[in-house]
Amino acid sequence: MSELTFTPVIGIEIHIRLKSDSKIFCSCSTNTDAPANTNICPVCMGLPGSLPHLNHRVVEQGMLAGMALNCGIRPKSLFFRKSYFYPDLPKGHQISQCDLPITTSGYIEVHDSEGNLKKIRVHHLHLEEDVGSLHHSASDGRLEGADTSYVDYNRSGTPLAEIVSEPDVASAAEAVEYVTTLRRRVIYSGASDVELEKGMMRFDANVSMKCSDGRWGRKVEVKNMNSFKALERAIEYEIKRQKKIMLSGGEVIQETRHWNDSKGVTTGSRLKEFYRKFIVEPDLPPLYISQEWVNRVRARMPEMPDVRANRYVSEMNLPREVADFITDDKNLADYFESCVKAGANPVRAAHWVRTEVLRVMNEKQLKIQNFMITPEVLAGLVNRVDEGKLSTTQGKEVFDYMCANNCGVDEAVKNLGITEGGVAGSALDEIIKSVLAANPDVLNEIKSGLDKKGKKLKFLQGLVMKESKGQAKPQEVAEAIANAVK
Amino acid sequence: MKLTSEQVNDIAIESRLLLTEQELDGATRYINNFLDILDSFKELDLTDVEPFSFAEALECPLREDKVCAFPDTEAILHESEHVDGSYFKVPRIMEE
Repeated sequence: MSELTFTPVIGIEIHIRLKSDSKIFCSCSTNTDAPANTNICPVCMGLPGSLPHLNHRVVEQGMLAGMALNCGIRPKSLFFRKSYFYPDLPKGHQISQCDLPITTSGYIEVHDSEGNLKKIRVHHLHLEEDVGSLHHSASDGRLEGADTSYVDYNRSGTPLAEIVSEPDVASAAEAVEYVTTLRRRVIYSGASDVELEKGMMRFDANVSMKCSDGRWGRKVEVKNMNSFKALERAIEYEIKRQKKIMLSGGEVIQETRHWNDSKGVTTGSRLKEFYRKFIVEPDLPPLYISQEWVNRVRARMPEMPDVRANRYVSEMNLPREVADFITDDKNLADYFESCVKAGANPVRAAHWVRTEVLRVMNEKQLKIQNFMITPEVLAGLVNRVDEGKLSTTQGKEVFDYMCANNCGVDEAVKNLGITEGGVAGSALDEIIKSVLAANPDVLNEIKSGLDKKGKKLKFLQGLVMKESKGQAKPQEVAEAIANAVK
Repeated sequence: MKLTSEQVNDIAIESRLLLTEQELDGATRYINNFLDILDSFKELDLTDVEPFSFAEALECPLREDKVCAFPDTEAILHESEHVDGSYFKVPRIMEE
């Protein structure tokens, strides 16, 4: 009997907070860090008589995010009321595009287990409003277990994009690459900052297993993951759990399970399922998007990070790992490219950005947009090192001096007392002459052939390098001393 | 399509309504009569007809992304009897 094999079949739903100043259907601020319930109004509180008024920018952010996922923009979309009875949404329904979303049919490319590119299809991206936040521990500091929850509606009505994939993901690793790539592309598009630590990206995964004997396990929806690591661990756990059930001849039950990050397990949800009924939102007529509007928004789309990384590899000969690293942050990639445009060798510039620039950024807690050395100035420094006018060590000294003193290359070189091009020619001869004069015994030993291993010669080279303050080229020093002791 | 009185009772509970036996019978009869009328629509051939949503050809009005704070959030907070500081209070809901 051949061994049974299992193929995971995984679909992923992602919620991303879209970037806007005001909420999706009202003019309240989207600042969720404000004191509780200060960014609320009759609309986001669902008070009788209030009417939703759609935010133009949120529509464009949805279009941009959709374009980043290679989706098409639909000329007509519609909002629905999704019945939802829970205290974090006071209307009793969530306004969401369901059957007629703003963008559909996209894809994200990831690498499969053999390293080949494969497409994870994006079914659609739709716009909806977020819900408020529930605090289960008391506001006055009482311990959890109190019989009251506290609700802050500042988040209620902030704009979300829900992105639904087709069940094309086959492993936890693919899932992580899918969400990582998707996040990077959405950030590049400008639709969202997708700050994970601020809960701007949340994941649900639908996991089922296909067995080589033809059996299909039921679909299990796993909720409550808000980091890449949690998504990866939850999927790995669920794959193992379902496989074990199927191997023992059992049946996987179709259910919603919650990921418990601290225990590293998924548990069956005891939450009562709501009636998930939809009706058309009567207060929001259809949203029509003209081709002309689509074109205008598309013109704002920057080159996507993976496309950019591929260009760095093919046109600039950057190693793949370096290209991926630099393009991970759009601003860093912009800085690097400006440096290259200013004439720096791309491979060298990438190395400087990745090591020295990032080191100082981390030390000083700076963003690249606020970095004290402009890419053009860095290009000048990289070129001087490349041309041999400065040694690598000197280049780094100059770089640090420029960072500390906010000055240009010339001023740094001058103030550090560095001789560009190093100590050579007659200046080097002078140093050698004085070193030899100060060490007659060593000179005699060499001349009489006693320095068979060349140790004394090396000793003299070291003295000359020291005298030149490291500004002479070791190769030239060795040759010049060899000539001088003949 | 017919609804049983149990189904109607479920809907009533979801709507936060408590019906007596008599009211439940009446509601079941009323809803089923209405569903019978809807059933008669099935005789129509609607193959190429788009679902109807709005009586007029309206376009969704859009507004500029501008923050305009509501002037009296305190008043909203005090629409509820269950407030603690700046929070609304609700019965604790278990998530696990």
